[in-house]
Amino acid sequence: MKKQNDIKNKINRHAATHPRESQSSTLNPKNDFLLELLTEELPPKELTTLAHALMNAIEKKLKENGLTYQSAQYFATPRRLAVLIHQLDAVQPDRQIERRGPPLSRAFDEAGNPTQATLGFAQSCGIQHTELIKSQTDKGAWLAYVYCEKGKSVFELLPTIVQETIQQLPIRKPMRWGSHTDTFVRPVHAVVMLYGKKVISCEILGLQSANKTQGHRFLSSGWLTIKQPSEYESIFKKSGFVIADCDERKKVIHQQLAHAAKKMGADVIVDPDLLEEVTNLTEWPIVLIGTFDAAFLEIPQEALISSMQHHQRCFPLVDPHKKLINQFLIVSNMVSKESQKIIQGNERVMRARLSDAGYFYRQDLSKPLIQYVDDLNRVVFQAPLGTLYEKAARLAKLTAFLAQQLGINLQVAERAAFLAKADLMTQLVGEFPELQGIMGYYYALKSGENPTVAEAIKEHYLPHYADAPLPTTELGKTLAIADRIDSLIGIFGINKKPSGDKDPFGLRRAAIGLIRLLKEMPLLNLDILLRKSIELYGPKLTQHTVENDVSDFIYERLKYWTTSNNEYTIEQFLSIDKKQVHALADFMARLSAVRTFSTLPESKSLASANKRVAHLLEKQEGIAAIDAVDPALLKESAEKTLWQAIIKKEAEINTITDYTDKLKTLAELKEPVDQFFDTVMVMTEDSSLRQNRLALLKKLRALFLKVADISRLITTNT
Amino acid sequence: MEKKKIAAFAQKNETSPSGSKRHPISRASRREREMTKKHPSIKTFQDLILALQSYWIKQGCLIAQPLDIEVGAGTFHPFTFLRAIGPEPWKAAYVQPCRRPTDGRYGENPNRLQHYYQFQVMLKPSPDNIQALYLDSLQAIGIDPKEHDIRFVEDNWESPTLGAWGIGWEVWLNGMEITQFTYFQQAGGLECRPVTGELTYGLERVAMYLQGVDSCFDLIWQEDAQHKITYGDIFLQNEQEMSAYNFEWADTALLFEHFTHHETQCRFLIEKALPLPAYEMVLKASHTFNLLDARHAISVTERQRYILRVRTLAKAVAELYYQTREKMGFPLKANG
Repeated sequence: MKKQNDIKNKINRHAATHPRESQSSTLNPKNDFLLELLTEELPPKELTTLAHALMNAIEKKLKENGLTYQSAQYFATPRRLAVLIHQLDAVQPDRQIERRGPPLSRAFDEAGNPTQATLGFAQSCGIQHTELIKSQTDKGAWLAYVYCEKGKSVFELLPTIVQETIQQLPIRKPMRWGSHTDTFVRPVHAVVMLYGKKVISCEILGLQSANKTQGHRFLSSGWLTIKQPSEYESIFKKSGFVIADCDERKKVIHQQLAHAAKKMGADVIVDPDLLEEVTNLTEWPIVLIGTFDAAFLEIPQEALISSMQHHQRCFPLVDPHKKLINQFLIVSNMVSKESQKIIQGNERVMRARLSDAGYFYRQDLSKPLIQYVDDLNRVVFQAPLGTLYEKAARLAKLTAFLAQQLGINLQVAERAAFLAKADLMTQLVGEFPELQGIMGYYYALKSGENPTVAEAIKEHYLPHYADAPLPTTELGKTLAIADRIDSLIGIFGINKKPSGDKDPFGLRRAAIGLIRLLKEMPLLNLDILLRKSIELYGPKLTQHTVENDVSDFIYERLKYWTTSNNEYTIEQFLSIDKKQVHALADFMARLSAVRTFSTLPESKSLASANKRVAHLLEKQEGIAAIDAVDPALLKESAEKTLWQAIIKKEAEINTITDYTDKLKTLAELKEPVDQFFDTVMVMTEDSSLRQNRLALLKKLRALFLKVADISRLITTNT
Repeated sequence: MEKKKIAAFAQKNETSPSGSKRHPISRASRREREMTKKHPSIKTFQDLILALQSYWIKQGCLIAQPLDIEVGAGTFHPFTFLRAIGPEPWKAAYVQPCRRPTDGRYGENPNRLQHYYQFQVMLKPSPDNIQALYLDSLQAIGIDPKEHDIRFVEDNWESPTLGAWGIGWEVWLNGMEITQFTYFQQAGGLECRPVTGELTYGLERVAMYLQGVDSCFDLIWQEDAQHKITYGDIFLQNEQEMSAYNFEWADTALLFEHFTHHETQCRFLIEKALPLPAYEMVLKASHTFNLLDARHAISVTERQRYILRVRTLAKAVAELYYQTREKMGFPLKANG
């Protein structure tokens, strides 16, 4: 302790001899820092991630270098990545460095004179040995040289920081260009490195840094000089025709889209991914309104919308009844006197695109949907599992099996399942895979199929993701369940289950979908369905543990799905018997009951009582247990009361079906249970009394176990 | 509107067909140059080709002629694919007729053809101002970037059969893709050092835009006082007949034999250290595969295997080509 103070004193003294330096480190001037890379057009889907990563990496390195700043900000447009650091220290703080010399024991001879080691060390430090101080830690004491290392300035540090950061950016496909040796996401044309009003001179990706950049490729001309970082955004707005901030640009586009839609008395469909993409494809977005021939509206609108969004990055408009209208919104990157030319150009392409969609649609309709089923023979589902045709045939059987259990029309169910994958062979779905199911619906109707069949085909891909809507029709749900079970059993059956972050068949999502669907279908038993699916695959499956594997997988997904967003605690989840997963709706009802029970004031005490009982019973394992309670052997009043209460509750809960109500009723046992444990000695010497009391407790526990093992609600460390 | 402007200018031009040479050079030619800048005389398909050629000649490109073998894209021309390999610089521009049997529509679709033209520019190493050069070429064919919405939209290119890939864009003109722009990163599995910059103009697309027509068959190929020939006059029958051949009548048994033959020949020629004829075999195998594909003669799973077979050949040829050029001391290396 004292030694440490010594060091401090020494440092202070040392610092005091250089007042100017000390002042510079306490009154460290601050200024803004700007980095901009002017590039060729960057990939829109990677842009925001890259800009963000660039900022984060720079921030991290600033911190590692002991440089503080007020805040950081990033900018990204198709042609630039930029980071602005507000109020960054001009220099690193000075650092105290302790250089360790000889151990104290060898530092001085018996006369107290410095040893050769000490003198040598002092010399190597370039000081007198008297300037050395004593330094002590738990591991011993040394002579040491403590000095102050002067902090480096940002002009010295930032070039390396930026160079390293650029090397480490998470670029998906780095590229080379010309004869340059550097790699980056796209070719770079200029680098701005500005601290306050001064250029930080260095070479980045083969370019000399400066304070010059360019604005919009066509609307702005020549080089723009950035006098200081804080001007970055405003210079562009004034004369660069660039909105550098992504969020602002996105907002501007969204507003323009909404405004244009309003003008047309319509609503605009804004797909968030598309909005993000067009934001990153424009520097100066201008929304324009285009028109197409209303005759195209005869084509199913989903196909038109896909075509508009995917091929043309345009935004569809719908009327108040959600029906597509023959106008669309273009997000251009241009202010043109001839904006009519831009609109006409886009309209022409749109016409060609929609004609294409129409052509595919008419071609697809040239034969009834059922005839596409044969074509499924051409597509392999998974090599060892056969073709999609075989899948369709299995689906038909599995869905019929399900329909039987649910009491829905067998023929209709089988037909829907057999047709479910047929649209994959149509041209429109080939062009727009996201239309699977939807085109099947239209083609089924056009082919004169039962509307229930058509609906089920459309809905069987639902839910698309964890929180997405479920099918609305019973047959839709049934088919959706069959499809997911067939995929899970098949893929697990050839041992291609997901591992780590690899889930190429989307089985995790499929399992969550299945769980949500089964939750809605209390009549279905998972185990039976899995077994039926295995039977339908026959000898194709090589993994003999497939039933257990899939069942375990679903149980794990269920655990994840119920607990990952804190809807349920892990203790609540574990209180339900794993075997109950075969009846998923029942599992969920129990789980929900336990959650409600956990909020009751009685729950804690009853949970510990159950835990205590579980322990007691565990210890008795192996000893011949008496299950029946002999009322004659009940001595204490508390055990008599508990016995009466148990009998009463047992009768009560047998008349209740709802698990929550069951547990609420059982919660009333708290008083007699507490009373029992307070006054009755269970492990008494008298073995018949002891056995009887254990039987009583077993009975008590069995009552709760009819719903859940609430002893699990007690975490081990409480 | 667009249509009118071009038509109006066309009339003006017709009244003095071979004008400029007869006039005194000074004022007339300057005026004409200014006029050309505002209203270039690209009214026919052949004018478009000429304009692109003369622009790229000025940029130092050699004008090559099309390859006399069926290929799916200008990239397959040895002047791009093989020249992209190794350190030798190269600058070439050429028209390449392309065949994509599966894209045939019997001449019924206004935008899809199984035979069409690309204008290919290959610059190695890719100049730092390649984007500016490209935009100037648009100006040279009468597309003013200050009036239109021109965008470089990410579209990385990959040719699974050539073992080649690159980073780049499709260039949009008011929402229409008119050019594919690629920085080659690999060709035949070999790293491209230096990098080749490749520009591929879809000639029909560009011409349709310039001429303001909605069907490629309506494009005017040639027009003067005596003649007017459209793209349809020349190619409609070809599209109809070739679609029938590609989709209905191509002899698949024979094509399978051809494929195997080209593959065997290619291996043999590689053994004989003859990369150029071996490369021709790769191209023939590739086109044969495309024909089989159009006939749906290859199942989805087998398709991958066929592509892999062609790629294996292409890679072997690429390596051999590199070695032979290396043995020759990369003769064009000093030509940068």
